[in-house]
Amino acid sequence: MVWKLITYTELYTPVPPYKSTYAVGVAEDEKGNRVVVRIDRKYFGRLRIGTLGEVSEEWTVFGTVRKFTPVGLEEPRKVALVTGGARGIGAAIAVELARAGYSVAIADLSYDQEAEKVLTNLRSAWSNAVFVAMDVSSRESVEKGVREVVDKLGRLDVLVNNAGIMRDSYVQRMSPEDWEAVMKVNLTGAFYCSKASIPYMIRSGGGVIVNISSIVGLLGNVGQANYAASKAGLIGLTHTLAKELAPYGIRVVAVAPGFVRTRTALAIPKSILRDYVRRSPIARLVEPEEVAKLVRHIVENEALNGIVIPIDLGLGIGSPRT
Amino acid sequence: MKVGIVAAYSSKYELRSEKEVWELVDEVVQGLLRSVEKGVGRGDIDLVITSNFSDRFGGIVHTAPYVASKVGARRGLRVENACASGGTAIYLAWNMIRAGLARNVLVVGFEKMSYQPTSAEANEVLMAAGHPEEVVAGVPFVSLYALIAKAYMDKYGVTEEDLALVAVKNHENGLRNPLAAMRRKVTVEDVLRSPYVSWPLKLYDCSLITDGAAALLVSGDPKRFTDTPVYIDGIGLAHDTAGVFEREDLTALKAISVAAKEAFDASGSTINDIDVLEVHDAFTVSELIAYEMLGLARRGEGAKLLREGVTTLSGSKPVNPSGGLKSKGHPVGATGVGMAAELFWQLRGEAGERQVKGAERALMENHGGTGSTAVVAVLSR
Repeated sequence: MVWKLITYTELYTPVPPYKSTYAVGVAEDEKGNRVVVRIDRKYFGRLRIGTLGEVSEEWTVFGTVRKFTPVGLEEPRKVALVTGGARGIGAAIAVELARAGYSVAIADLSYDQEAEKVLTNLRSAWSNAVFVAMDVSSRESVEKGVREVVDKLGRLDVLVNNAGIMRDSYVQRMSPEDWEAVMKVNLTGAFYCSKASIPYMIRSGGGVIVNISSIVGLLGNVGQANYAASKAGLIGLTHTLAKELAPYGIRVVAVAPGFVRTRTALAIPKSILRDYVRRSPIARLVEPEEVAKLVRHIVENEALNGIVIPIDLGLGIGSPRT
Repeated sequence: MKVGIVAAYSSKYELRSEKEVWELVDEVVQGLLRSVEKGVGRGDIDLVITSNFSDRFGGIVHTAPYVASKVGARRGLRVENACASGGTAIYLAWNMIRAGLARNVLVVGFEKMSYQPTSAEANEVLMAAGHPEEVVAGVPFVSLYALIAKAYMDKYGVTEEDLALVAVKNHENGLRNPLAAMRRKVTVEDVLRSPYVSWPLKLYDCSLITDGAAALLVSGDPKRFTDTPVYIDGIGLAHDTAGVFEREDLTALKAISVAAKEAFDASGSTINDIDVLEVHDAFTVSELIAYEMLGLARRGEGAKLLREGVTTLSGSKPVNPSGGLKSKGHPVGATGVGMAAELFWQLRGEAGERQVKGAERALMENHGGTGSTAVVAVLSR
């Protein structure tokens, strides 16, 4: 039996008891019978008066709900935004998500040779790829950048808050400027990017925010009070956003890598790095591609929400984790 | 027999009142009794009708004996017809008096919606007023009206900006009403920029979740209480289907026309005789459709009236001088009672800054659910 939508609405404000966003509509069959139907939020933006579909019944604890499933709608190409995507972990994540079929926007301070290289890699993975100039510590810059992504790629489904900096020193020597600079990029930047992205994700029926935290945010580390605090802050942000955004179909997960083989890590004095690796059960650095694979898994596995996943070669075994 | 409103009183409507719901009730009952010009004695009131949608908006039920004992009435009852509870209470008072079953009726409407911790939970309470299939599917009122709005916009080419004009006008009026919950000017841009709640309806297309109470004294012997009563010349109540999906024309709120015809017939008047209106703008789209159902505009042309300024305070048919549900607020059980109170003041020339000059005849339209119940009354001085 074919049913036709004769009117519909997309509900963006979750209301109990279902506490979820969804579309609702009135569907009519050829004989003129009408039913109230619910439609999965993944169809947000694609429904029209006259859309054809099938009606089935779904049992819920609150009663049996009629579901309308449109037929013949084209699947949209999903879009991911990776901040700090021109190098290091961000670049690896961008490439992995492109392989997973995403259109990818990489955001970084300025367009340089490295950004160009990443874009070439993304395009060779058949991804629509764009570069967006963005300073995550500036609210205006973030809002403009996120809008640009949606203008160019049509929607926003995944945000990877990866942009980060280090300004290491012992607390007694740490300048307030170094403290603030790190907090502003690593933590406030994630807040700005999330805040700017959430309305678009709600409108496209949900999404995933992945915060790149650090094992240092869980364990602390000598010489990294600012960095550790910012990465621990990302964990609190993750927990809270995961609770707030679940009704909208937006999942939020943090990843806590150990030392990853990137230029940032390799800038650490050799003696300190060697000491670190010696303490690791698997005595090497994490590869950026390994973090990227984990991020892809998080994006694809819809059961993951509000957790922090260490990827640290066992460095934190026995230590408190969340 | 002429039935008249002889006194009216309203609390200030608030988004979050510090008062318990029974304190709001006490306030309006005492305020009303004090405002009866020739006085009202204990025992004069022989029937109390309370109007309240849900005990989840205040925590009490069985409120008629509570009010009756305050005024020395020996009997009373509570009515509930969703958002039209207040209008229904007035309808019942009028009919009881006309049937000779009551003489002087105290009508008290109230709701404390902030009793629910969040607006999402308040919306769940309201949702119970839909058709069972709509309730089970989890369709809140904003979505039911969005279904109507989408169909209406699609059929007649009405735009989101057209809807926004309703909010702009009613907020403009609310600025002049000290009883209004949200006295804030809004522009078309403000409305268009506000977030979608249930597309195509935005936050500023929605009325307010409000706390408030209002009371009327309705009498079959009006001159006994005041020399300037406001007469209820006719009142009608009608139902449409409970569910939006069951309606042949999704863009109509048919019960309004049926109730209006009943009220016009009883009063021997037409829409042309009306000088001022209070209509049920639960959502901006419902005010536009109400214009059409009442015969103020042709189908699909409601917004034209706004663009031409016909329904503004200085227009020829001012609608919602109080600020309406949009700016004054919508404490469900109080809403219809508060509309009648506003028109009582308008027809007596007591509406202050929002006074419609020389208003002699007025119309109130109060509907419940998605127009599944409508009450329309014609009032005159």
